[in-house]
Amino acid sequence: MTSTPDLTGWVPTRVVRGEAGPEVEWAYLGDRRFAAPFFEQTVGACFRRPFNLAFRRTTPIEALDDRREVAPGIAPSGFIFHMSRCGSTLIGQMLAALRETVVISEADPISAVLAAPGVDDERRIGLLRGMVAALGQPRRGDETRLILKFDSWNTHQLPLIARAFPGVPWVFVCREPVEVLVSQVRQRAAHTIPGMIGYIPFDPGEIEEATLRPEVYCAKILGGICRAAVGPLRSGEGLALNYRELPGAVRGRLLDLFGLDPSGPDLERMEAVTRNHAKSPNLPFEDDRAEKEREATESIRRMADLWIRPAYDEIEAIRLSRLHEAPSGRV
Amino acid sequence: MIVQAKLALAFDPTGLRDDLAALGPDDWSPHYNDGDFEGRWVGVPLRAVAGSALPLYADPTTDAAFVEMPVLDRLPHIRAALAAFRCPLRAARILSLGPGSRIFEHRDPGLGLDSGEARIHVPIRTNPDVEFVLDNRRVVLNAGETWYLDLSLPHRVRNRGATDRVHLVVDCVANDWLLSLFPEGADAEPDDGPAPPIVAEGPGAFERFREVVLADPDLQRRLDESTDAEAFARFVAREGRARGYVFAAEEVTAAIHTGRRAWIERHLR
Repeated sequence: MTSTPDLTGWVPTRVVRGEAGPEVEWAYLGDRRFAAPFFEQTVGACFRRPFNLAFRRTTPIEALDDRREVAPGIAPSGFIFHMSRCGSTLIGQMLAALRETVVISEADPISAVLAAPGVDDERRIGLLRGMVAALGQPRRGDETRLILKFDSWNTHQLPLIARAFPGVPWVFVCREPVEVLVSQVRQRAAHTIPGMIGYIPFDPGEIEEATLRPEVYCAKILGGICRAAVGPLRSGEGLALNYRELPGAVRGRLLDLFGLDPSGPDLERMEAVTRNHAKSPNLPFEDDRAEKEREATESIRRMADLWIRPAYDEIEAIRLSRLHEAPSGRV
Repeated sequence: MIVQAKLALAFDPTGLRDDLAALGPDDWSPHYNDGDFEGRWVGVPLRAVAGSALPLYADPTTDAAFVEMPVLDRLPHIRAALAAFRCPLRAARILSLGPGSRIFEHRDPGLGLDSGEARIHVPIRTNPDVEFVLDNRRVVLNAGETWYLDLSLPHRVRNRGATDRVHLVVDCVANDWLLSLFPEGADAEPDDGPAPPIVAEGPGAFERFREVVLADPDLQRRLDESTDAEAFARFVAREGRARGYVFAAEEVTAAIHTGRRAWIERHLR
């Protein structure tokens, strides 16, 4: 096709290797919202519909640039970075309950452009802007705010993301290392399995280590993510939040940071989200801190202390010092 | 098999509308299928199984007897309309779909003339922005008209208007009187008008029609609303034919299978 295709209603779902170079795979979402806790769930629902199955659509990756020109999307209001298993899904779901927001949570195509091989920083920034614009389109038409929750390992790319979107406020969410490590060892995420996410470097020796003692590999990965957040936080750019402060700090500091001022009914919808389990909204929320502490083996505690705690403690120090500077009465 | 038919029976919508004013908020109950719609979909049971916990539920399979509900005492025009049906009646309801609300595509098995039952719709209040789509064809139902619709086929409703869409819905047992109301020549495939000149036929025709679809956002939206794979395939073939692209629904079904396999195997490549 010679002219630029009209991609109204279509969202990028993946970046795939095509014969002539990288391609974007799109799905028709129409005026439906990204209501599910994770991007991949919304995409999965799209690919249960006959239209998307029969009319699969891919374009060269350059189509992102053209798309952004004709449809720049909503300018981002805030970014969420996190160390995984720390309440960031709850935050995303609370913000998604507001009528004015579009919340994109851990979109695979964003990680794909952040990790694309053989691309210089300038081009990567261009691709990222194009991908965010294509994802951040109004859905019903009346949304004015865009919030992006990144994959935890995207924290390594925080400086590049900040360069691509100067002035967009961001938050880094963390949680007591032992609790996060227990959760990862119990049920591994893609980024704590060596080789699952091409972007995370590992050496062959680590695969063996990861198989025999998963807590070692997981702790190194989680520690790396926290370490990547320390520098940018120290320079005073972002906000650090701890799982312990949820959900109150979302209603307070985070809404302020992202410049959101929800109406009464929106606040009620947001409140309703906090009563349920964020990743399985049909289950009630349960505080599992005590249970995770009980499950922690001696080895998990040692690895958490060795690999994660130093950076975590730094983040906590920054968080607490800012908290004391904050005007009284703000949580 | 008849898909849809406007029957030789009409009512004065003014009287029916006057009756609606006699209904208070307590008369309306929410529809029981709460996963299948978005927005406001409520109803008033007029005839129901005596003592049923879900009087709005019109179970097409029940053997129990349906009885008139006391609310009919306040609805003289609607009671008269029910009396005009000279066939055995089962459930009868008033169903209201609010502005901006929609009922997603679904089938109601056992509700076709083929099973000896007919669900009859009499619109009481409606608006031009109601989209009632039966087997992927829009059907315009005007106030006071009486319609037979084969609801065992996939159907969906979207009220894009600013006012409620209120229908009297009557489940009838088919008899000679009811059949006599059907127009001459009512049949399975509603007429889509004369076929245009053929642009492409045979191998490659579906591929070429794909390009047409991917360049037409409005057609994409309509196709995506069809969630029933079998009805979708027939819909695509029909839309293709209407534009001169002739291919079989089976080709669309094959494309769905290919697409599903590619989706399932997406991490393996």
